[in-house]
Amino acid sequence: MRTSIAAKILFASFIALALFLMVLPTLIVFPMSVGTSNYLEFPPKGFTLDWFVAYFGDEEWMGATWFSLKVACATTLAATAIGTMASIALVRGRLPGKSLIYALTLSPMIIPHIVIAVALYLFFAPLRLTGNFYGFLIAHTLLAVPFVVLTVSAALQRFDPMLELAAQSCGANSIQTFYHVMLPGIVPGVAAGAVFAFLTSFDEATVAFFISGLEGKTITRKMFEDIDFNLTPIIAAVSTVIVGASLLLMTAVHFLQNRQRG
Amino acid sequence: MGQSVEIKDVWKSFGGFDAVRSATVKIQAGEFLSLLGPSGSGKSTLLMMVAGFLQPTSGKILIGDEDVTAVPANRRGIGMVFQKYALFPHMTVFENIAFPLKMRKLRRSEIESRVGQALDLVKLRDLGSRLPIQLSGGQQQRVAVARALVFEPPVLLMDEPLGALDKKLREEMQFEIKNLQQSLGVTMVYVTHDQEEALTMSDRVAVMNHGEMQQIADPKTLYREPGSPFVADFVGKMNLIEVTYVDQTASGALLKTAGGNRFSIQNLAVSTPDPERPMKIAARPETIALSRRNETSGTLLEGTIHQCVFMGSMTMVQVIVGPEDEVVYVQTEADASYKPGEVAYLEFDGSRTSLFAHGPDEN
Amino acid sequence: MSIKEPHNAGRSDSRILYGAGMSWSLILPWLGLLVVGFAYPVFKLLSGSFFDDGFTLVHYQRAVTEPLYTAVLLRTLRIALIVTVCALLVGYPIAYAISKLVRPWSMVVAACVLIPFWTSILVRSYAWIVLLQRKGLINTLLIDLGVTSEPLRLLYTEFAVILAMTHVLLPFLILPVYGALKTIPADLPMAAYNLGATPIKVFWKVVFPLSLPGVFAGCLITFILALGFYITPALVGGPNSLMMATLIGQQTTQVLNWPFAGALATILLITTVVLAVMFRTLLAKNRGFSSGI
Repeated sequence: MRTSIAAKILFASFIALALFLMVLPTLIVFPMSVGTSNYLEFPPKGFTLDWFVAYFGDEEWMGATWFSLKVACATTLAATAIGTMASIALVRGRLPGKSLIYALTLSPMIIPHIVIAVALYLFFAPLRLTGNFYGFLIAHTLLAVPFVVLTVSAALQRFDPMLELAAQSCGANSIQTFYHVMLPGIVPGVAAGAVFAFLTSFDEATVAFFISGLEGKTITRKMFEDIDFNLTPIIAAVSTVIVGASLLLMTAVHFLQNRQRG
Repeated sequence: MGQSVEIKDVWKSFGGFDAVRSATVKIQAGEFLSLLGPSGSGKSTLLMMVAGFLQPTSGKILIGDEDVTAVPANRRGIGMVFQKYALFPHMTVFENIAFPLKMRKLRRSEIESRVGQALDLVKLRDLGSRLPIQLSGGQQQRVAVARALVFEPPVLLMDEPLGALDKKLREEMQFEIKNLQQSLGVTMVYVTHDQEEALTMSDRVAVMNHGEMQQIADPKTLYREPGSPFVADFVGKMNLIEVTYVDQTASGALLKTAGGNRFSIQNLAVSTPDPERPMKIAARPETIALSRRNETSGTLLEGTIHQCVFMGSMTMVQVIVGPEDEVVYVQTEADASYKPGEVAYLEFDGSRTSLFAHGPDEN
Repeated sequence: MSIKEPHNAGRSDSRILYGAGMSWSLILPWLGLLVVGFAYPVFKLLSGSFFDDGFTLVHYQRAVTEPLYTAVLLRTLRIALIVTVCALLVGYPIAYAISKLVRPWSMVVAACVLIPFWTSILVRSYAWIVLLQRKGLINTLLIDLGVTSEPLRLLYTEFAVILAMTHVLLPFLILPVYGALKTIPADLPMAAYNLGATPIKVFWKVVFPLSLPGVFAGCLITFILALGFYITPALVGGPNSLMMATLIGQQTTQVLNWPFAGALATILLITTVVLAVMFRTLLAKNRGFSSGI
């Protein structure tokens, strides 16, 4: 082939540089979180775990973290259940206007979150649902269900409907068929959907910014405030914790997705 | 023991299209009935309705004396073997076969002994702890059969169960399934598009086309006296030649091909001798005699040898008759030595040749 | 219904296992949530923009005539467009590299794309602040290389917004382009080589045209998401790089002019929906987006 070696090297270094810039912002938080300096500085000097200690010792940070975790866990449960049920109806059910319902289902992913955020803020405020656990649960479940529907309906489409017929011919009713045959078949998809739902809620910042209150405040809202007003290295420590947890979950999803293909 | 299955004037339409039209058949207890037809003929749709997975648009389905048309699939108590077996991939062989018993809430000890018997029945005694993915195609097939039989259903349905197996294994399994069915006395409804399979296994075969049951008969009758050109063509190798009736002569009915060749057939029963009406004669390759000279008293159909194909126990000769290259297949003894281009004469056996009126609605 | 379809009709029917009653009860919780938590609030927000003691278009008039707001509208469109072009220029080669490389290298590149995808947007905004500030990595590097003697003002500028947004949105462009590239049969480029084309010609005449559906889909989703971006511009941008979403937020929580916020939201929403409908049509032609790497 006539592609010159120089061109190949040029292309490879472009890719390498682009990839480096892509992962750099994720990786940079690790050294930042252990630097001793009190203000932003790169490369950081020294080594300390003080910022982690500060994070875990700060009441407000911990409150926001627990609130986020609580909301994310409840969202995961609600979105996984609601989304799985909806997927079954959409893939295997008899419904009129399925494609319209499907488009509506995915719309919270595409509609700008600022619009949803402002709309929910104006809706929740008079109902005293801002800064409220249930307000967050509604908002985040709404945002998370589309991801669950995407992964679960993909799993259902790969799942052989003949197996369900076989279960019925063996005498199983709809519930037994779901529990004994369908669910074990799509469980990797459901689990992946659950992880997506968790991350969607835990990482969600735009809606959380608007519907947080003084009491009920998510970790994303707390981070936003701190980045905007007093940029302390605690943020780097928090970021490190979040990135570490996200990477673990992401690896889990990767293995879950590979399992169903096997 | 088996129970009878009665299908009474069953129709199924999908959005205005009739997939099954007025299917009616009574399958006796313990009978082996095949539904034979090309893909899209409605045979699988009919089976799905018997199983209870599809609701007939109209008509009734009875098992024994009970009308089960409105009974859901899981309460019909019918065993079913699916095209690609549909074994539950996350369950072992044992768990797969135990599943129908678990659904019927049998005691654990009872389940174990009956699954054991079922495994013996299909000769898989030692494979109970394997997962389906660890089995060969033939073994998976056997597990599917065992799962369908373990709860001793009176009726067993099979939807092209051998389609995924290679030829040798398929023939082996045909005999095994047939033996199993006979020894258990279970009523069998068997869907296949393979006419050879239907003929070897069945007590009766129902041939379906375009949603209609064209003919229901035992294999011999089906082969020898096909009820329609479609059945004649679909079951076994068949020559269909377009002709018109000319006259009745001393040497039998005198016919004329579309190309104008005249020939006569002894002992051919022509019910409505009408020279205006186009007809089709149907003759199997083994019922036609081929000769180099026209030595009989009658008029034989003249043709040109196109090709000879040696097939082991016999040779299949392709003879071109008429100007439009219509090919007639003739079966001769294995060492017949015709050369392409040679002129040859075809003699039809009137008692083994069928005659069909060529209606406008046939293709 | 045409007579030609019976086969599909029969087959699709066999996938349907649940009757209408069961199906509705399965989907009802979700439809309820969609109505209560989404359709109704959004409808209220939008409809509020048309009323001010009776029907009025005054808020829309204001949005498109007052220079301050038209500037924001145009800036949002401009930034979204620049971000999309930048993402395409960087993302296409990366997608191409993933499709060409063999394991484990393709996995390494794919991981480099997915790691930022999964990193919290706040973490990434924070990281860009660290990188772009006066004593940040970029300025240190520029001074060390002798490009500049004084640290440059990078943070809180339109440049910072474009850079950070491109970074956030790159995976949304890379995944559909990769999906399109992956579906090109390997023997097509081979055939072109065989017919005597040079590698560059093969790329421009065979590979690139076939990947266009993925490029369009990727560009559209990037553009749509860029239009409505809130967090990143709010943190790394300054007053001179104010965008639509931030403006809507300000009008809601600071100015408390909700009908006007509603009007701005309506403009943003309609633009998005029009683009999304286009996106769906393209996605139907090219189903690569959801496929995992």
